[in-house]
Amino acid sequence: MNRRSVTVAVTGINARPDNPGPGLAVARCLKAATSLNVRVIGLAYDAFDPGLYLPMWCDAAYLLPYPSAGEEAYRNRLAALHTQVPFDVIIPSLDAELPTLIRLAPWLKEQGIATLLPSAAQIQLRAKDRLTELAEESGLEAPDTQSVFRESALHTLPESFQQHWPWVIKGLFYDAKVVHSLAEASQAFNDIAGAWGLPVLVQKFAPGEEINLTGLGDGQGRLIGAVMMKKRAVTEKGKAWAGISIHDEALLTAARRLVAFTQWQGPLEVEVMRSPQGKLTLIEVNPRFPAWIYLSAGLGCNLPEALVHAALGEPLTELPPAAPGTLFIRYAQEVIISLDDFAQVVTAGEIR
Amino acid sequence: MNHALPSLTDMATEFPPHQTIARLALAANGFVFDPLTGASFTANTTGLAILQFLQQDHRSLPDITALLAERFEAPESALEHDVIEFAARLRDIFR
Repeated sequence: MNRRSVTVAVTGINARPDNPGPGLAVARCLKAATSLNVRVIGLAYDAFDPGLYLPMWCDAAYLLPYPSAGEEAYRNRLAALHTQVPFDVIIPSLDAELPTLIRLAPWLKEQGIATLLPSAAQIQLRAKDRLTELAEESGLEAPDTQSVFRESALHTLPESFQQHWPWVIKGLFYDAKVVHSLAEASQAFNDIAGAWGLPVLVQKFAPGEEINLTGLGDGQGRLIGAVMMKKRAVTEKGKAWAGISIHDEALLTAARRLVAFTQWQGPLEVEVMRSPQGKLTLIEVNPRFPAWIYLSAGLGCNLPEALVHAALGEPLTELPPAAPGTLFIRYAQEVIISLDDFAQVVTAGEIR
Repeated sequence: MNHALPSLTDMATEFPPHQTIARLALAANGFVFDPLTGASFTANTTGLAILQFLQQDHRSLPDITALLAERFEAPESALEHDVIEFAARLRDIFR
């Protein structure tokens, strides 16, 4: 098969064992692509991101400034890298960088860099404080949620909350803690508000088992492909350490409705709780691939590969449903780095 | 109206709904996988046979016991307890 050669930049290559960014898994999917010959450019935010030093997955790797350094600095760095190692497509893998990259999308297009990103409006639709609306449109339940701006407000939440423990305390963008008392809730509020700002969300805990779906929306209301997974072992942060592919028709139908309603463009992850009675409660929609995305390549439903085709404007047919019953187990290992290589990253922000 | 109450034996051999049992993938080595939930468990030869009979829509204790007796060439009286015990295990797994 004559495979098209393409260069793809991927962010989020930190791969921390307890809570990995999805970037390296995306890179591995791209290297496993059967229809593309992909040169991967890894884009890291920290000299300790291991993807910088794994040439089998990232052919070259560079440091980026954090988005918080400002849009101009971020754009200038991307422009310099694109001059140095032109890339055809960029796949962001972290929530925090998405607003910047969405604003930069028209500029990226001018530079000849393709993306498949949700719009700012779509990002707003899946915001954690708007889950109820999204759940209703998708035929799902939503947990009762309150936005809390100060710790003392935890004591005056409606009676229905005070009588319904545990709660889940969530940051608007990231992090979630299950708490069983007001004392724990106060601690979690302060931790999360300190790290991620206000408001902090308080949800009634939805009982059941968490199941996840990752997919790709084509921006015209169609879900191009989907992989569903049940975690079988988790890290202390509740991230998947092992999982198994499943098939839940109700979840798939809900995801299709969600993508149709939002006209979602790009990757997404839908997290739901399934009650013992089979009721699905939407707990989160992430606007990116999850860290377990390599399972999609393992199942022959390579979603990052499909994303590259879609970003390049190629017509896509829906991928066949991924079969249930395939497991993954994540493992941690060390990469050995010479002082010269580390110094090269720290001083020049690149390694090739 | 006079409703007949279920007997203790009926209650003891109440299996999970047919749609639950029907979706299970059964391997010859006794590994059982639920593609909806991702859960898995193992069953011995007798349990596996019971699941196969349930998937063929045999639901009653006498029916399943007779089929087991035929397959394993054992007296029905010796198998009835196994069926009741396995029904309880399935109820527990799919609670």
